[in-house]
Amino acid sequence: MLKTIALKEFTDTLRDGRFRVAAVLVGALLVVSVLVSRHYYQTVSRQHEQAKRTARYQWENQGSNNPHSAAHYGVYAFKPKYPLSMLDNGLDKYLGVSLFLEAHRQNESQFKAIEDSSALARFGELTPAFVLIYLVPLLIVLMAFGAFTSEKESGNLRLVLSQGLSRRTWLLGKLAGVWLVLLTLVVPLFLIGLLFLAASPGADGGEFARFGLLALVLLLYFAVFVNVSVGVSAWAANSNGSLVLLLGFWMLSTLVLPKATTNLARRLYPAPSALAYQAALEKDLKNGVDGHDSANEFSKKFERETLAKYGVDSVSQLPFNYWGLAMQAGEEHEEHVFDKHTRAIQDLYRRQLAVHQASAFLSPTILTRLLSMSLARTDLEAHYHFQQEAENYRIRLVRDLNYELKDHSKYDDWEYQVNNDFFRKTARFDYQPVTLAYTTGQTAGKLVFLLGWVLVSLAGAWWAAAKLNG
Amino acid sequence: MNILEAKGLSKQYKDKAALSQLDLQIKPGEIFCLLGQNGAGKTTTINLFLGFVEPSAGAAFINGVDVAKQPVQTKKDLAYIPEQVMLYPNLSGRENLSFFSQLAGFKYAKAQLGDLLTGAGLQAGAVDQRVSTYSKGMRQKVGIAIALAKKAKALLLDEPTSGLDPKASNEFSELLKKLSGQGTAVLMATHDIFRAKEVGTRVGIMREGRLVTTLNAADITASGLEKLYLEYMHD
Repeated sequence: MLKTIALKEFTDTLRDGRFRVAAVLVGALLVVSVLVSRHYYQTVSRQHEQAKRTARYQWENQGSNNPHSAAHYGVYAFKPKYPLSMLDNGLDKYLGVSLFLEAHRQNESQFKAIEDSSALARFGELTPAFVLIYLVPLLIVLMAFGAFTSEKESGNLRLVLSQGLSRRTWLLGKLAGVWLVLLTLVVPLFLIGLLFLAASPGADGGEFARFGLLALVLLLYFAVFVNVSVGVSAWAANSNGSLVLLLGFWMLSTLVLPKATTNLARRLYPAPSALAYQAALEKDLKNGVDGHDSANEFSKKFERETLAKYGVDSVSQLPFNYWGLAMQAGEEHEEHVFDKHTRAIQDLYRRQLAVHQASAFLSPTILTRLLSMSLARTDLEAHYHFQQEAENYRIRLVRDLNYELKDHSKYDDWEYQVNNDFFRKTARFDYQPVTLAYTTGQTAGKLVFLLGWVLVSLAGAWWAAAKLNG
Repeated sequence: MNILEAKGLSKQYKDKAALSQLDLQIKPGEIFCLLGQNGAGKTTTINLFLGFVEPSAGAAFINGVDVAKQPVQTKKDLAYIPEQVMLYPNLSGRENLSFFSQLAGFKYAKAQLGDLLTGAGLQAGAVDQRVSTYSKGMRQKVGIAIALAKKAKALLLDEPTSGLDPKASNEFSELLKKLSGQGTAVLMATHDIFRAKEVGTRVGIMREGRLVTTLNAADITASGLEKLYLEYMHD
């Protein structure tokens, strides 16, 4: 019976000229967005590989140099571009692709794609995630707003129910019919996505699992819109009312709430201005050892403590180069200050995100967007993870360089140099990205929430269908 | 054995009695025509037999089964033709008939579907055209075919001939007589006094939710029925 109804709905919908136009448009946008994103991904990953090689080559071939000068010369860390960013590039364009790692400072990431774009880019860009998360629900609404209301208006509902069909069978048939059309549209696109993923050299098993989870999340998200659309159509008195209500829900979920909660979050947890942030940072930095300023009171205190510890009268009597130790002491103070301020600002952004997410009980779009970015590793957490790992590497590299100065040069020997052989042996930045286990732990709660949306909306449709009358 | 039966059937809306204490029995082969103005309770009576509204008092029975208690099962013995048969405009007449028959649990071969449609008076050339190109009369014929395909014991009709041209209306009457000859019990709500006299075995006149009189169609002329009807409608 369900098959009969679903097939009839499928034929009926496909023969509808308005639906055909809308579906061809959405389908074409999806195909174009996948191709554009794939091209972008390939270009960026190629540049990434190239830049990574060049940067390391330059570091290893800087010639003879003082180790601490080399720490100032610095190295670059590049954030990898993951294959799934083809589907959802999330916050990537706002977060930058590389970090400059140098002595004394923790830098912000650089080369944010948004800085290279015109103001128009703020309106968003055509990515598969945009089409799937924003436009496909609109297509579902257009497909299903009249599922029941058009039959109430034409009187077909009376004829259908007089055939001895229960209202709930009719509801399930309608739902199955919408799904049949929807799957015909999205399954080929999922398969194309899978094909592109298989063709990406960077895709490992975890990336395929992420793709599977992302497909599941999208199907659950579509199910919410299918249930709500069919349910409202069963409940509403006429098609106009149903359409207005559903478009209102779509706007609320995709546009109004995401924007409104972003503003609310900023108001509740205001971020300090760049100037204020910098000033607070500089203030804390001054309150500690400065490797380049021995007259600083903290530097003097450190000197006194070091002399006392080794029982000598002057730093020249120490068994190592004091300047290497002082540099490292200053470095550790600076690391501590940067760590404190970075954590504070990250926690602030996390709290803002929590406000944003709190409105998910009204907007399944917010949930889906967050899930999709986490799975594609284009979210804030993936970026923070990269930043932290790069910072750990910076700390290690600068320490190695300072200790080289401390242990292998004489006091006040500023001519001391190391050569390329030394730089070749310095640690490499071998970034291990966020694991699947970490992501699933981070997203499980949201996935359950989305599943709750599916069940509640289905229950709503079930309730509305029981009240259907001929 | 009564196929259609109402026992004290009543429907009360907030401040208005849509139907009061209707007692009615329709046997196999009988055609009962309900006459009355808009709002007299004809459509309410049909909705109660269809189970689309719950009775406030009394009960409607189809083949002895209480409609309110078994709303899905009683529909197996019942076919219904609404005043406006809209159907699905993107499907052909044959596809519409096939779909509705399958909903009722019948699966007909392609040729049988065509025979049912032409049997109901649809031109053979129109069978596979989309319903969006049909006239009201053609859609009505598909509605008749849907009812015939169900082979039901009872047929409910709500103003089935309104808006049909006299020829189509006449063909429709012939079809009803044929069905009644095969033992179908028919309940038809209509405004058409002439048609009621012509096709009905019994005629009931309704006013303000009450069945005020019932008579045998054979016992009265069309003009006599009209005179009687007007008398009842007069305050």
